[in-house]
Amino acid sequence: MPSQPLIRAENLTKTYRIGSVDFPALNGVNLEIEAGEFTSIVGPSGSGKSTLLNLLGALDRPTSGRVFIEGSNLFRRNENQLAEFRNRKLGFIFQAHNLLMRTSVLANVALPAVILGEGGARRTKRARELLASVGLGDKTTRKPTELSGGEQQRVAVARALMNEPLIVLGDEPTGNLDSKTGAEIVALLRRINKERGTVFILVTHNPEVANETERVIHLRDGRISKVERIPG
Amino acid sequence: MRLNDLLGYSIGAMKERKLRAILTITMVIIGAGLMTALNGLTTGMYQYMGSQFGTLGANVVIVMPGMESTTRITEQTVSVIKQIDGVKIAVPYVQQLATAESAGTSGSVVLTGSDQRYLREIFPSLIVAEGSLVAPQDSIGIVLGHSVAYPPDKPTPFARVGSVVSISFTVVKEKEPETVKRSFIVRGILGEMGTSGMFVPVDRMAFLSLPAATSLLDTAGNYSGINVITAGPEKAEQAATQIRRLYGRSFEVYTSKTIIQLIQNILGAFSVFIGSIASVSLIVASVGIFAGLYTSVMERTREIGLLKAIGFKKRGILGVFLSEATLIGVIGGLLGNAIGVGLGYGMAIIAGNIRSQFTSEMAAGQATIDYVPPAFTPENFLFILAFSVGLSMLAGAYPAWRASRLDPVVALRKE
Repeated sequence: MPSQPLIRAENLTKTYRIGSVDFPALNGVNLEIEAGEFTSIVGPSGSGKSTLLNLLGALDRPTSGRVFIEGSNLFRRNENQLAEFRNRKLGFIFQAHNLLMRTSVLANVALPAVILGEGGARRTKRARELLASVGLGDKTTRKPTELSGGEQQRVAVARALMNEPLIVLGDEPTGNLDSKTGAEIVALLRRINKERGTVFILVTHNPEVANETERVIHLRDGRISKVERIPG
Repeated sequence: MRLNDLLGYSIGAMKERKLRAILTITMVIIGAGLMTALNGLTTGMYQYMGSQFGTLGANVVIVMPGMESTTRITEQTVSVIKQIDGVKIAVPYVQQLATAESAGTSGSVVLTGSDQRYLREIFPSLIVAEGSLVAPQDSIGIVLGHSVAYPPDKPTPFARVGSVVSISFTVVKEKEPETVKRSFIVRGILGEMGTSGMFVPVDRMAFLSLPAATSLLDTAGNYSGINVITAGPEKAEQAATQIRRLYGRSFEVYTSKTIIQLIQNILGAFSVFIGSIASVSLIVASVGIFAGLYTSVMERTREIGLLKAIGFKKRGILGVFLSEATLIGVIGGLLGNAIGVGLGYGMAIIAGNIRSQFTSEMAAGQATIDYVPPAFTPENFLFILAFSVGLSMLAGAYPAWRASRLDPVVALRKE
């Protein structure tokens, strides 16, 4: 019996209706991602990569098709169950505006555990450890506004890891950074992937970022046009 | 999510938009404060009225000529009322506003003539502080109410037991004003009853025997009213009903209970009016909360998207915004309660000043109520707090609902 993949997308289709016209954003995507993979999704604007990420991240529902995560049908869940799933199993890193500017870095990182209802002492301890592991152990009490763009993304990475997720989804996580800082962030994600086995799926249009991943999925017009293995 | 985390989150969000939060809370404070103050004033008025009419015995019925009636109260009326079941005795009285003079000073008194053996039954709390009451046939004796003998605005007593007091009043006979004046000897002085004004101003009364008063006032066998003493409070109500049945609208019939009801009807309508003015200001505040929170939801769309992405459920988002509204209501309501107490005292002083100016201009002889302190009850505080919180939550409900319904994908797209 073959081992089942961590994520399996079957014939995923997403159509947006604007007025009376249908725009197919995703058109029959089939995809499997194994445990421990470090994957990127690339493609031109409008190719459907963000839509695919939103579906894999349980933020949106497909028009048709299914997503199985650990063998269970993701979209069988109702909205509350999806929210709970995102909280426990997923982490998100967005391009920008990831953080609440009014609270400390530590509070931002701990937020997913707050939703979970975890006690203050435990979550603070773990948030500190995570901040230390992304190199911000000395800046836990700072406000995000006092940090550089790269540091802010590190905080977002720490927050994504807070509830020890299976999968972290990055939507252009280096899009707002200069290439050097961007490379540092990708290296950090790569290290976490190696150390913890967390699956990363990064949407990017930056080939340098894609080249750092193990597998590059190319999207074009809502379909997978090519899957590339990067020799590591 | 734990409650303290939820509250902490809301407080953080309010701190981020501090001025808006302060302004919204201020609106609630004004509304709740006004309600507290005005409620306090009317409650104070109630309690004051209650203390004023508490002096009348619960078993007493007062019969007076009707406002628009020409029927007189005579000895025959007294004998009819005496026959009514439950009536122990009917004590007729005559009354006239008069001027009392002694040792060069003068003051106005409510001159009352009646058989004083029953005075203590009519006013259960009445005490003779000095001397004694006037005997039924005493034609030269007078008893002074406490504030007649000891005018509150003068350092020296007006008269003492044994002093001579001359009583004068003006009557119009055949279109010619005529002043009648006669002297009396003070037999006794009453203790203070705290009823300076209103319906039965005992402190401002001067009592004669009935024959002395009828001869002085030349009443031609007519009485100003009858104090009917019955066997008990229930008998008083029954007797009052019976008298009303017999005489219809010719006479006004009061018991301590009906007087209090009358006052409560007037004050009740008044306090509903006042209360609705105050609650309008709270409703305005809730519109402010609505506008403020709605704007917040719009501004924080991105934040809401982020919260949803990391796992907030609909009811979590709902909770975040509703708890902000609730906090505004709680803080505003509590501070409003506190500030309303101060405001109530301030308004009572101002209202007292206005009243005393009015009354001194209108009639120097009338008793004045200078200052009625406001009264605050825990029920009022709780009601106003609950009203503030309830309205705030109601105002926050729609913005919170909108926030909870935001599509995370759409919300996250907003920068």
